[in-house]
Amino acid sequence: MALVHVSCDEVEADALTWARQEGFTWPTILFSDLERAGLARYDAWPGEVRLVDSAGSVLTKDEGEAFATISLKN
Amino acid sequence: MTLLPSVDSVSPILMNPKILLFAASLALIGQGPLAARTWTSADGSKTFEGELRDLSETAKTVTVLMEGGKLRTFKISLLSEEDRNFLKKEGHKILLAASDGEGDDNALQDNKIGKNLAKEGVLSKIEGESFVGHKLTKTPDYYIVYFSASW
Repeated sequence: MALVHVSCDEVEADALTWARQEGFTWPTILFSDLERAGLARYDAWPGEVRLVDSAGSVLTKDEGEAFATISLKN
Repeated sequence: MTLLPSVDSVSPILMNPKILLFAASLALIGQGPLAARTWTSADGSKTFEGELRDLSETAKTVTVLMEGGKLRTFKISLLSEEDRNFLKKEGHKILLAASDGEGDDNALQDNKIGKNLAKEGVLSKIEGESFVGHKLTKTPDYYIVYFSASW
């Protein structure tokens, strides 16, 4: 499992400020690299989550379900 | 298993509660048993016990660890409607929870998402006062993509 953070801020400095403020130190994809990362197709808004498998298939867009899924072993 | 990166450079108080929940949920992965299940054939005439071990939506097959310890792979269509619905709804969740979330090392190029993330300059990570280039060292089986913005 990897948590990947996608910043929708077009200005890198804004993305950096937000990530530092929130303590979001996970691997990040900046907005300018979104297409190259192949993640633009998920068509998500800030605050949304996509749980995807290694083939890129979306398993869920629902935040609650994503949380439930990743904590299933609890 | 350590899933969470160090955040000791930032006060926890500043962390978004949603992200904290996210982090806590991630930390729970790697614990708990696999669910064994009684499977039923499509015509309902046979049942067997086994644990789900793999699911291929492209090949439309399921792999089950049988009671005797043997792995069997067969077409999903051979299973009852209830089992097929179970696989559709819960299959990936169970496999995700059962795995350590990481595939073989150095297999990023065989992984559609990983291949893109491995491109030069795509991934970065906060280091000190700026973003610096970052590379995944493992090949995850699953990714949680979290979209954010400062606005």
